[in-house]
This record gives sequence, structure tokens and C-alpha cells, in this order.
Amino acid sequence: MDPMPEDVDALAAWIVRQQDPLRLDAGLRRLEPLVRRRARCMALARGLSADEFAGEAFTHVGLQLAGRKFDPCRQQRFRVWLNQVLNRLAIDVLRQRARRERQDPLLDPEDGEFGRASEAVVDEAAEQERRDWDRVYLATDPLTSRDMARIESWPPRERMLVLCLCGWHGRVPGGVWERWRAEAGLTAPFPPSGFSDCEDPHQRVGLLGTLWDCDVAVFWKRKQLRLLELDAWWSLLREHESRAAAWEAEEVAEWERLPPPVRIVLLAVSGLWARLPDWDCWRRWEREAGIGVPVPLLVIARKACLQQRVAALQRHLPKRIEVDVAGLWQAESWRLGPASGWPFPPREGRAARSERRHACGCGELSHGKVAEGEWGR
Amino acid sequence: MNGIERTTNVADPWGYGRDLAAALRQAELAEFERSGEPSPAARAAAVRVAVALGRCRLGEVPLCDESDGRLSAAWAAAAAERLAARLREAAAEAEQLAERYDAAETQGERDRLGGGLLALRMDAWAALLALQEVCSACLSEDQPGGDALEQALDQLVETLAQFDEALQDQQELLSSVAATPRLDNWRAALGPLHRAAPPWWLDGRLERTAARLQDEAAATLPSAGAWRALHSERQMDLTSTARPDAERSVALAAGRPNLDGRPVRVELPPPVAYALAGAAEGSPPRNRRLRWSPPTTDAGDLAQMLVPVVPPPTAAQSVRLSFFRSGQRAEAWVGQPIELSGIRRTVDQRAGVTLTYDEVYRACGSPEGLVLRVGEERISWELETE
Repeated sequence: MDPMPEDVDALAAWIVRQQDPLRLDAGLRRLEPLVRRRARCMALARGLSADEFAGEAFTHVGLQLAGRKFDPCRQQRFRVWLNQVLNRLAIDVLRQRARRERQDPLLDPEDGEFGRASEAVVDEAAEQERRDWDRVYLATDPLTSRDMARIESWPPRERMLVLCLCGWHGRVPGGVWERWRAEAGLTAPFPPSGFSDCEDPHQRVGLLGTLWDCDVAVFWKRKQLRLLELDAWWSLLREHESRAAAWEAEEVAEWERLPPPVRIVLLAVSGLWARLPDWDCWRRWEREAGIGVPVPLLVIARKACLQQRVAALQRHLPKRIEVDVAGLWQAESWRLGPASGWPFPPREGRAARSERRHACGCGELSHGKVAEGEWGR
Repeated sequence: MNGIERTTNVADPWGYGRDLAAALRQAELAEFERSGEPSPAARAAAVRVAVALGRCRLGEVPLCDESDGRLSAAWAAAAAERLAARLREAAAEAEQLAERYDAAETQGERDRLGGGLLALRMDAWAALLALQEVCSACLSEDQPGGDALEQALDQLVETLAQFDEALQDQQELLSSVAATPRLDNWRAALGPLHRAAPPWWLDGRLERTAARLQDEAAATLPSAGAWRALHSERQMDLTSTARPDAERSVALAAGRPNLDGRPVRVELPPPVAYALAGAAEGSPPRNRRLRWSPPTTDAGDLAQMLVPVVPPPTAAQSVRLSFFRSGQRAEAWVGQPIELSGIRRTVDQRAGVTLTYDEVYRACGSPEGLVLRVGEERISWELETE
């Protein structure tokens, strides 16, 4: 029996001699780390995606070796040959990509499988979104003292810009507004005269961007989430008939029995966070899960499909807490039950499941990469 | 091995060859001729050489003597280590970009933060290309130091991948760089191969992100009608006393004027409503792309329509059939009649036609299937599906 050598050159020579597919595969697996390392290097040197290219390169090198394209007698060291093969492959991939872009310039590399939508569908969704947001902005009642205190805690300029952009500066008592203006170091009047005449949102964005010397679109994308901190937002939600399904204390308590990462993943991905009583409850849960910067709930909810929401949440979560969003969703989303029985299956089922959960402790909740014991309650 | 004294300038509008020559003249490089650990200054000098050489390679700048256009293994290993250390810092900077972005006073400062990180990414790309070239050469010529260099490169690659990941997480903040000429300049400095298939930060996604953010801002800020309504309501409020909190719920329950004056029920904001709907369905909405091409495709014509697989909430929801020529909107088809399985339209100014989902659904079920005929001659275009 010809044993598999340790040395890379000898191993490559051994692989090309193999007739048995199992032994060939075993040899290739031993070479895999080296091939992947070199392929990642080559990919980044050529501006390609390291992970994608590494996978493609391993297959390619395997085929080359199986096809005996590496000749250990005639050729130099394996690593030299490998570098040459990877370099040629990288250039081929670049050329293929260039050709594809020329032939199919409509492909958006970011969008991947799910993201592409027809222009009209996008227009339609944007129109609907605009109409609904308008209903939010049309609330003109004075803000509650709790909301005022929250807004007061925002950085002065951020506070002014968010309120002006959503047109809520009129909901702040005049004296307070003047004090905030002075704190932000802005000259009176603010917003400047003529701002209220800017009916086109682009005009408003342009005017405030010039005044503030900032990219207002980028600012708004990140700071619109501030509105979620306000009771004004949650009270608007409560007006909607869907809020009949808003959770009572008993249901919130039931959620609280789940480990914090499970709660965060299920609610953020499903959008069911909107059924919580208020922002404080959500933030408390985020902190329990070790999340400092609030999860961008609106950004996640705006994603067109489940996979994108999962990816968006995963991107946001701090790496140190090691939550595998996709894994948790897969393992725990049964808790959301059928649409008719949200948030949990009907009473009987819930009770039975609850019993089962008690019977086996909380072990069944700790799926994915959640560290054992870290979230134990 | 070390000397590139002169470069041809004909194909080097950016002067990268000159930069390389200047980098190679750095006095600190002399340290590599002596034994012992190179100083930080010498390592930094080696990075400058690697970056300069890599830029020449990316720009496909012809150097006077290609065989001399390499770093030595010792320089390359020192450059890889120094660069990896810098990239580790940069990854942390990228992760904290949001905080630094918020703290910046001016947009220029913010652009410099993002642009600086992207500039470092460009340099790292160039340097890695040069270092990889040196590594391959060292291995094939069996030079000493090749194995050590390979290890240094592996570490550099891992650090670069982390930096890349941190940068990609910040695409929205980085997108403001798209408003500056930086990205275009970097693209212009690339040679044909890399310009045609650029890396992620130059492939247009930052520009698309910037455009998307503009659209999202316009879609989620008060519309013109709401702004008008808000403003007029505010005028009225100025003349009345503020309502106490207790009365507020009554006012809400009674409904507030809609844009067209009718009372409306306050509804869930769309992302929330959409999120709830998505969870209820339990299946992600997806589109199916349908494409047609004419019998002769020399002009690069194609018609494309994306139809939601999951039926939209209303059958009247529109679906767009767009015409393209060589990837651009096909102005040539504007005003031309088309017929899709009996549904007739004229191609509008945006080089497309609007159909309802219901029409498309019915057309799919017609005996002849989705047949597209275009122009006065009603030429049949061939359907390709994914």
C-alpha cells in the first residue's frame, strides 16, 4: 500500500498516481488548506472575492491534478505549479467577469438571487411606503414629556436635523425649540425661512445638506431609527387594527422566558417587534442580549425577503456575542406558529409545548452558535 | 534586482513609473542590505515600493525592464508585515467609522474618513499584487526567503479580508465618497483587465448605494402633499392652544385629515406592515425574470420583465416591460407598438410599457404563452426564462 506522504511535493506526486477515487479525494483534502490559502491570496491580489475564488480554485486544482496536468518528474515544486495555475485561473475569472458585464450590464452584483425587482414593483413599493410614512408625519400633537426627555438626550444637532426632516419641529414648544437651536449653535431662525416652502423632499434634503454640510440621505438612513424611540411612534402603531394583536403583559412575559438572542432574532427578522408595548422593552431585551447599538429594525424590515433580513441582522450584531442568526431562525421560528396563531400557536399547543420545554429545561433553545450557559436564565 | 531607474512615460499618464523610481531611491531601503531587523522606517519604505510597483501592475504601466520590476524577498516580507499591522488598525477604524462619522463637523471631513479607508484598500490591493508576484518568483527561482514570504502573505491576506469585511459593513457611510471624483479617478488609473472587472468598491455598488439612499430619503421623508398639510395645520395650531395629553387620544381616534381632506385611519408604517406580512407568508417574495430577444441580436436588443412569483396584494399592481439596447434604455423603441399575447401597448418615453400583474398572469395562461411581438411588423421576439 502506497502511504500518503506528508511533504507537499511528494503528496502532489502521490495524488497524480492515484487510480482509486477515494484515495485521490483523501489526498486532495490534505492539500485543500494550502490550495485555499494560496487562492485567497491570489484572489485579493486580483481584486476578486477571496471566498468565492478559493472554492472555485480548489475544484479547478483538483481537476487539474486528477487529469495529471501536474508532472512531478518534469515540473518544479508543487507550490510553484500551484501559483501558476491560480494566476491563470484568476485572470480567466477576471476576463469572464468582464465579458459578462459587457453582455449583461443589467446584473447588479450586490443584488444576488433575491434582490432584483422590476422597476415598476419598486416604484409601487416606494409609493406605498411614502403614503404610509406621511400618515406618521401628519401627527401634529405636542410630544409627551417622556418623548421630549428622550429627544433632549440626543446630540443637539442630530435632534434638530431629525425633527426638521420629519416636519416635527412644530410639535416642540417654541421656547424649548429656541433653547435647542442655541445648544446646537445654529443661527435663528431655524429652520430657515423658506424651508417650509420646500415641498419637494429633495429640495429639503438639499437645503439642509448645504446648511449643515452633510450628506442628509446618509444621515436620514441611520437616524430615522430615532423615531422608534418615541412613544409618538408606538401610539401611532397602536391606532392600527393590527395592534389588536399587540401583546399583553402575559405574552410579553412568555417571550421573556426565551433566551435574549432568540427573542431578538425572532422579533427582528419577523417584524413582530412592533407588537411590543414600547421601545424601552425592546431596548432592555437588546441589552440583555449584549447588543449596545440598537438593531436597525426599520432597515431590516424593509428588506424584501427573509434571507436579506437574516443577513442584515447578522451584519449588525456584534461579533463578540456569536449569534448565528440563520441557525437560530431555522431552529426557533416554529415558535411564531402559523399566521393565524401569532405569536404562539393556539393555547392548547402552547401549553403542551411549554410543558415540553420545562421538561427538558432550556436546552432546546440553545441552538446555533449561542455559547452554552452564556444566555442561561 | 532592486533598480528601476527609468520608466517609459508613454502609457503612464498617472506617473506611476516615476513614483516607483522615487520609491526605489528611498535611503531607508539600504537597511535591507545590512543584517539585522529592519527599522519601522525601512519597513514603511518597503511598503511604498510595493504599492508603487502594484500600481504600475494594476495600471498595466510598461516599465523599462520588466525583470527588474520586483522587490526582493526580504523587502517584500517586511512590507507584508508592516502592511498587515496597518490593516489591523484600519479594520478597527472601519468598525468605528459610524462614531467618527457622527463626530465629524463637515462633509469634507466625513468624505476624508471614508475616502481614506478606501484609499488604503486601493494601496493594499496594489501592494498585495506586487508581493504575490515576488512570492511566485521567489518560489519558482528557489530563492531564499520564499517560504517566509509566503507565510507573511498568508497573514496579510487574513488581515486584509477582515479589513474588507469591516469596510463592506460600512457601505452606506462610504457611499458618500461616490459624490467625489475619487472612485472615477481610481477606475481610470486601472488597466483594461482590472477596469473591466473591478473589485467591489469600484464596481459601481457605492454609487448605487448612494442613489438608493437618496431614493429612500425621498420616499420616507414627508411628501410634498404631507408637507403642505403639515404646514397649513401648523399655521392653524399657532392660533389655538395646545391640546392636553388626555385629549390627544380622542383626536387620534377621530382620525386626522388625509392629504385629500378625508379622514383616514392611522396605519402601520409600511416597513412594519411589510415585515408582518412577510412573516405571515413565511416565504420570501421573489421575482421571476423574463427576457425576450429579437431574431437578430446584433444591436444587443432585449426586453426584460420581472414578475413577482408571490402574487402582489392587488392584481392591478403594475409590472414593467423594459427595452434595452447594449445595456442602455433603448430609445430606438420609443413610440413603437408592441403586443404581448394580445395585450397591446406603445413603448413609452422611458423605453418600456406598463402592464398589470393580472394582465401578465392572464397572458401566461394564454394558449400561445407569453409571445412578444414588437414594432409595426409585429416581429416575434424569443422568450428566454431563468
